[in-house]
Order: sequence, then C-alpha cells, then structure tokens
Amino acid sequence: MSHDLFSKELLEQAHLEAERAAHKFEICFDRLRTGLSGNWQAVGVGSSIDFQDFRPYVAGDDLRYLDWQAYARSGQYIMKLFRAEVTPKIDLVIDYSMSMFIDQPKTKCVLELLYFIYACALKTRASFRAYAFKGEGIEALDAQDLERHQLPSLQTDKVSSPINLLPVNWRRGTLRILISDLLFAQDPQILLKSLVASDAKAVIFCPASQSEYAPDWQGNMSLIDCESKLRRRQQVTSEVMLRYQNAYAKHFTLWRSGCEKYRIPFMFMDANNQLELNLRDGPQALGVLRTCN
Amino acid sequence: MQLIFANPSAVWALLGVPAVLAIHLIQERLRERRVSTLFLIEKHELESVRGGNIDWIRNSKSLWLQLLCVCLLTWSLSEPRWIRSDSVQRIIILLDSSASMQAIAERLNNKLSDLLEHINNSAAKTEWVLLETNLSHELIYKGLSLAVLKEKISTFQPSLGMHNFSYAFDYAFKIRGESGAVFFISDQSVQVPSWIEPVALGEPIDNVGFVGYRINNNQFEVIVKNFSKIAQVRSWSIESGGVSEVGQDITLPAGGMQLINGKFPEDQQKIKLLLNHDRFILDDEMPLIRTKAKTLKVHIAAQKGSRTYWNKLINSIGELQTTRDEASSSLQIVEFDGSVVSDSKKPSIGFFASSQSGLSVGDIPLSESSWVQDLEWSGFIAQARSFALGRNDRVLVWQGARPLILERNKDNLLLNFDISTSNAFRHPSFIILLQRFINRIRQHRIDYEQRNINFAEGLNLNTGGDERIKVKMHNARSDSEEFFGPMNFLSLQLPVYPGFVEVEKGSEPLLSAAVQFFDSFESDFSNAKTEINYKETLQQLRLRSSEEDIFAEIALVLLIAGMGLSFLVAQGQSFWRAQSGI
Repeated sequence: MSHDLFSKELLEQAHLEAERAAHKFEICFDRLRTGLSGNWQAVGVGSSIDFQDFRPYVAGDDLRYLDWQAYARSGQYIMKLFRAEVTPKIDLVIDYSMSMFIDQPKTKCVLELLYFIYACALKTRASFRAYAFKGEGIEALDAQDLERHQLPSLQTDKVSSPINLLPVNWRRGTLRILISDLLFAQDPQILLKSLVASDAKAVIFCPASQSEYAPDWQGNMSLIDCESKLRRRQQVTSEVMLRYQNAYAKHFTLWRSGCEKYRIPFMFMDANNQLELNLRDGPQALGVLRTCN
Repeated sequence: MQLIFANPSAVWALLGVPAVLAIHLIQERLRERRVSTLFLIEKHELESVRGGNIDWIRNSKSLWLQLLCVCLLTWSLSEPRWIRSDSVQRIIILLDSSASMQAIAERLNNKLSDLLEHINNSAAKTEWVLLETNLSHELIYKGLSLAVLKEKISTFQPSLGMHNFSYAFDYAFKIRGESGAVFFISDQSVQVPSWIEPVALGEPIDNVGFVGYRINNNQFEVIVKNFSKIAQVRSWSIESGGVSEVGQDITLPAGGMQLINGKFPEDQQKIKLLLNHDRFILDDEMPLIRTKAKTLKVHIAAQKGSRTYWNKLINSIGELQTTRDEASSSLQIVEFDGSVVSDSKKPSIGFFASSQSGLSVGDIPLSESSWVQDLEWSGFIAQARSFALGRNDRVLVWQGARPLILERNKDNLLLNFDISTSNAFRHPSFIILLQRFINRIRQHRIDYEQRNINFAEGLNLNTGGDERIKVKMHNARSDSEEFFGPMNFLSLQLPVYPGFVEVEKGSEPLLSAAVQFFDSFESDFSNAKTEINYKETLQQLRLRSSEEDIFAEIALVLLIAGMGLSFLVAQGQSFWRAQSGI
C-alpha cells in the first residue's frame, strides 16, 4: 500500500523555503575533507587548481592554506581559496520510513532539508545524487522529479528495517549526507562505518519531532507504531515518562558518540523550528555550513 | 450499642461512588497516538500489549480521596445514632376486635412482623403490651419478648361486631406512659387521636355471606348478600344429620341479596347452610335450629268474661299453655276480687275487672321503667285506681299520680285498672308489655329450650344453681366440652365460629342453640384498606432512645479536608506534569 503524503503544495513550499535558506547558507566543502586532496570550496566549479580569493580565517580551517604573507602584512589570518581539484559531489540518502513523516512539522522539516541540500548542490554546481532508503531497498531520486515536486510514495504496509547503506552506490570522494531520524534499534557502528567507508566524509541530519522528544502522553494511552501498526496499551505516569525521556536521550547519546568516533557531524534538527534556525544552530555551529556573503 | 440512621434515605448519596468512578473512567479513557519511538518504551515492558491486564480506572490518590469524601458525606447525611444501652420504651399494640379482622389473619402476622422488628430495634429494651378493643377481655400480653408477642398475635381471635373504640383508646393512653407509643391495628382507616399511630392492614375482599334468617315452625328463610362491587356466583349446600345436599348455584349482582328457603327435615332439629368459602369465612356458614321456647303453663283465675280476653292473648303469644292445675302452672293470671290485691308466690299477672260497662278514660299513661320506656301509651284508655305502693313495688307505667301498671317482687305484674273498662287488649303497647313480662318469666324458668344465638351476644342462661353444668360446643374448627360447678346463671363467651352449643344440667338437657355470625358491617370489606405510615412515630422512638454519633461531626470536618486535599492532589499532578515537560 502506498501513501501519498506529499502534496504538491507542501513540496513547493518546502522547496521555496529551502532555496531561501540556500541563499543564506552554503556547504563548507572545504572543511569537509575528502580522502584525496585539498579542500573543498563552495564557489563555482572548475577543473584546475587556481588561487581564487581570500577570506578570513575561521576556526577549523586547514592552516596549510593560511596566507602568511597577508598575516605578516596585516596581522590578520587570511585564507587562500583555491578552485576545487575535482567537482564537488554530494550523495544524499534520505530515510524514507514512515517515522520520518510521522507528523506535519517533521515532514516539512525533512522535505526542507532535502531541498536545501539539493539547492546547495545546484548553487555550487556540485554533482548531486539522492537515494531514498525504503524498507528493504534503495530507490534513486530523480533530480527532475525533485524539480517537478514529485517524490516517490511511501510504502505503508511494510515495516522498515534499520538503514542498510550497503546497496548504495557511493561515488568516490563524495560528501555523503544522510537525512534520517535514526529511530530504530541498531548498533550505530554498523551504519556509521558504512557511511564513512573508503575514507569518505559524511554528515548526518537528524530531524526530530516534539512528539518524539517531548510527547504529550499521559494516563491511559494506546500507542500505535507508525510502521508496524502495533498497538501498545500503556499507562503513562510521570515515572514512565521520565524513563522514556532517558531512553530517548540515551539512544541519541549512542549515536552522537558513534558520530564523534567517526568524525561525522551529527545535527539534531528540531522540526518545530524554522529551517534557517535549525541550520544556524546545528550545521553552521558545527562548521558544516557557513553563511553566504 | 446498636447503630441506627435517623435519615436512612441518605444512602442515595452513595450514588456518588459510581459517579466518581465514571468521572475517572471518562477522564482515563484510552487516548491513541501514532508513535515512532515505540521501541524505546518496549524496552521497559511496563505494560503488556497482549493479555488481560485491563485497567480502566487509574489508581490515583484523587480517586480514593473522592471516594472517601462520598462515604464521609453519606455517613454524615445519614445522621447515625447509637441506641443507648439503658433505653427502654413501652409499646402498646391495640388490636381491633372486629370480626372482620379474621379475614386478614395472615396479613396481620406478616405485615406486623416487620413493624414489630423495626420498633424492637428502636430501643435497647421494649416492653410490649398487647390488648384488644374488646375491653371485656383481659390484656393479651405484657412483657419483653417479641417472639411471645408475635405468637399471641397469631392466635388472636377477634369476634365483635361494630363497636366503639374510644374506651380502648382511653385505656391505652393511660397505660402508655411518657416513653411509649400506641399502635392501633385495624383493617380499615380509622380516625384516631393524634397520639395513636393507626396501621391499617386490610384490603377489599369480594365477600358474599349470610346476613339474616327467619324460622317459622319447620320453614326457614336465609338471606345471602353480595358485599362486593362485582357480581358473584356462589354454590351452597345444606347439611343435616350428617347428610349434605347441594343446592343450585346462585348469582348475585354487586350489592345484591337473595333468599334461600326450605324446610327442616322431618326428623332433624338442626341444619347448617354453607356457602363455598371466600376469604371471610365467618358468614359462610349458617347453623339453624328449630326454635323451641320454654313452654309456660298458665293458670287463669278469672271470671268468664275476663278469661276470654286472656285466652285470646295466650293463644296469640307462642309457647304458652293454659292449665287448670294451678300447682303445675308457671304463670298465674289472677283477677283481684274487689279491691284486694292478693300476693302470689308464683309469677303472676294480677288485674281488676268489674262489671261496669263503658270505658273509663284517665290521663295519658307514662312509662317509667327502662324496659318499657320505649312504649307509647297515647290512645290507651284506662282509669288507674288508687293504690298504696308497697316496699317491693316498682311502677312501670304511671297515670298521673297513680300507678297504672307496676311490678311486685319482679315476678308479679299488677294491672291497677279495671281491665273490662279499658282498651288494653287492643292497645299494642300493653300487649308488648305483657309479652316482655312473659318472656322474662320464661327466661328465668329452668326448662329446656332451643334457640338461635348470634355469637356476639354470648351465652346467658339461668341454670338453677343446684347441679353441675356441662357445656358442649362444636363447629367446623373444634369440638369442646366444658364443666362448671352449680351456679344460678351461666354467662359464657361463645367461640368465634358458627356452630352448635348444648348445655346440660346434670343429665338433663337445658339448651340447644345454633350459634351464628351475621353482621352486615363486618361482612362489608369495601372500605378495607392498607395504610402503613408509621415512619414518623418510629423515628421519634429512635430519636428518644438514641444519641448522636460523635464521628458524624468529625466526618464533616474530614469531608471538607478530603475535598481540599483531593483538589490539591489534582493540582499537584498538573504541576508535576508541567514540570516534566509534558
């Protein structure tokens, strides 16, 4: 059974919001190291190594590209910008399970993230490929479909298994971006390891709904799993809620720890917040994004 | 100490319990949520998805507090009281002695039982006094035992016809005392004084019964009446000499009457007519006996002229026989010679008669004595002679200042006028007076007789006083034989059931009687009703014998505290929820 969750209006709205954000933010390809050489930079595309521009030093920049002469002259740290040696590539995997679209705010958040990455890719003329992880398999997302605001439908009659990235045809030297709420019982190591396999750089955007991190459960509840449709009668007291929140926090603590180990920036995206706020608080703070001049 | 509730209807306040439960049930109805983090909850396994662990009501502090408040409120409203251990009450149960009460004998036992139990529980000790409105009977019971009281009530045999209750009410008031109450038990709604609690236990009955009879030699006529409001059909039969003969069914319209007539069998003195029984059985049997009054032999000592009148009179009065033998006579009719009034040792009627013709008219006579007071003497023509009253004379009728008719020594009737110049033998009052006198003589005479008696009259008989008396009574319920020592006059209560009575003096039969019941008022149950409304009196008894429960006042305080606490607990739960971010 498929489920058309995405109305054209919703997709258009998300695209619009994402493009607006893409005007303000860009992906720090240069900071997100590839396994080959040099830095990524976020301007233009090219196929030669050229000095292009200066910019002020930002914490985390590779000191090899510091313009020491400019420092000697001005006493300020200036970075030299070079054209990319190779074309920036983005491989995006979006978790297409029902939990990602549990409610309207989270759905909006996920779609905005998808379109933001797409818009950023377009802006930097990066090579963009996107895949949807649907239950047992991977489905490629066509850029034209994205443009036409036609996304594949959800499979509501199957229980999604934890994400298995093995079937993804990763390209060498891509920035691997995963958009997933990570709400499954799985050892993070398995997924994270495969994400950064072949010395790749990865980023995880983790959208979360308030109904997940601060649910309004109280008293006699009938909780229905959005994927398995399993019902669970649960008497929710304050003690139960406390234990749930601890479990929730612990779950993501494990993921954060795993991400730290593999040096994968992990960004928690609150679906209640606007996209720009989320981008500012999360990715920008971690240096995955920077504001555009 | 026994606990009672002055306001037992407060138990309705316990409806608050299901109300509180319903509120909590509604509040705690299952809410559904689609979740994506079920796997995080399942780890704790606090509730099983499968199985019968259904818990609709959340076990919360506010639930229990509210339930407690409902209980406290109920307790407080019910006004609990404790019967004092030293409390004593005197309860008078006054039973209506009307024969119609026999129809409700079973209801009396059943319905009264509840009332008596309630009364008994109103004090630590109850002194019971059971009496009936027939004050000629002794107190039925006085004591502390409810069981004995109930037993006495179950054997109560009311037998009176319509009678005045006021004497019984007055007596009950005198013996009630300050801490007592009087309950009047009847089958009808009766006006009673304010200090009496009426309890009516009757109900309308479709009663058909015998209401009267007439016997003329060997012929009888019996009247049957339908007292109900709808037509009734009854079958009837005659029993005599052990043989029963069934008659045709009779149909009586509502309130209608029908005559049944027949003859006594040739060789039978007694018969019994029976109707098929309804709920009131006293009037369903009519025993009859051929009437045989005591025969009086009359000796007339009078001139030929007067004798003619007296013979005529004697022939018109039943059971009188003239005799020439003075010695064997029971009554003498004596013509005084001249102005001399001779005394007679036997019962006698003395009169004057002269040869004067023409009627002498005197003043209109006036009845004096009570047994002739109802007689009307206008039109009576006679002239009283002058007469010197003796010590044992009692004037029955005066004419002016002269005694016209008097009795001497109770057994002698003196006619102080010239009977030949009066119209005495043509005047009804004179004839009636003579008849009454003769009946009195007959009554005092010790001789065998047969008569029909209404059992309410009782058995009253001159017995002579020289030999032992045997009384045999038999009816459909019982046969009995009783002996009495020599006595002049026998006065007995008859059994409350139609039947026959035989009295013997020594070995000589003295009386055979058929005992009947017929009383139109008692047989009519159209006004019978049930009215039981003693709650107020019962309440007063309880209040008098008990004291307030101290805890009831404390319960009010606890109730207010409980309500406040329940509110705070509910508010606290909201606060905690807010704090935990829910």
